Amino acid sequence: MGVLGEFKKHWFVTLLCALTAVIFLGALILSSVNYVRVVDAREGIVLGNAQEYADELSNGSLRIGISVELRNPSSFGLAISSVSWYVSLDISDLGGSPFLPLATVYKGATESLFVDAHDTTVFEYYAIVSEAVKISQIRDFINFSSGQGVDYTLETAPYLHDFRLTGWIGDFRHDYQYSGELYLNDMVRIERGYSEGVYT
Amino acid sequence: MRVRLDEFKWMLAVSAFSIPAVAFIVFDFVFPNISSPSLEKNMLVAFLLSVLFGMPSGYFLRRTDRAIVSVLIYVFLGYVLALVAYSAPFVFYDFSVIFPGLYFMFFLNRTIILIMIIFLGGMIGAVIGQIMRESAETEETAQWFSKP
Repeated sequence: MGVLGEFKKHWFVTLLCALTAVIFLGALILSSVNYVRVVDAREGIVLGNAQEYADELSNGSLRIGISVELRNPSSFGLAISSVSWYVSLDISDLGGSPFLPLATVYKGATESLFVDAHDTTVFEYYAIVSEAVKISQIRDFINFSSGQGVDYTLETAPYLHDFRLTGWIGDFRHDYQYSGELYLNDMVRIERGYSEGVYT
Repeated sequence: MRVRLDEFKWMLAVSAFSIPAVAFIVFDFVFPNISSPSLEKNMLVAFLLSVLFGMPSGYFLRRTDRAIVSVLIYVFLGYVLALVAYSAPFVFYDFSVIFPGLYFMFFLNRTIILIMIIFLGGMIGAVIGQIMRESAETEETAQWFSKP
């Protein structure tokens, strides 16, 4: 009896086996497509169009800010777990501490930030530096640079912006604790940054 | 063991029932958070399923040695299919490899124990499948002779 004949003779068992095979093949294809989409999201989600600004206010304070776009062309939403922005000024030439911290913003997972699929979200943060000591140190730096032949103002000083963002793709599980399974968390984790004109 | 071409085709046909299941279980074991539905790396469930998927080999192939070869075939081909699924973003699409170092070793390291469990379960399943076939045939014969 040939292969087909044997299958026909035991048609019920054959049908059960074939159905199971089809179900698992479907699950495998679905999972592979999910995998491709996750990899696609990992490569597609980027920061861009960062704009830094600094304004001198009428009361002598400094308003400093940043605006960064997060583009999510993937088909998964992105749950933002943390956003941090740090601004400083490199004053190492003046002696003393090398960096003058000006502003810090940190948003954790409790903020429930979410970027929808196929969407672009603009993250915009600003801070007002009004401490006389800090303004004075910035002016010292400006005066020092002027002596070196570089003219800065409060608005054009070379502030160092460091913007970091982490998030989770879709609603895939990402709470694995065992060291051999941490790659699963990394698989669905997005970590993007912007610093000194460079996107990472 | 001498195997004729038609017997080999028969073993391949029977193996085809279990190849997708092995491929899915292996792929799911590497990426349980991405695959759907997921066994969540539960080795006991994987073992029980592998017993289930060994049964067609025993049921359709009367000889135990051929049933075991059939288990070997579907475990091997299922593993290859899982590797193809694992490589899908990089083979079928132009994505860069996420884990560039030891690309295949990464997969092998995570699935080597599982694949042994699946093979063991498959052999047990093949024996159970043969017992089921014999039981069904015995009952069939008894019913045949009891007909008025």
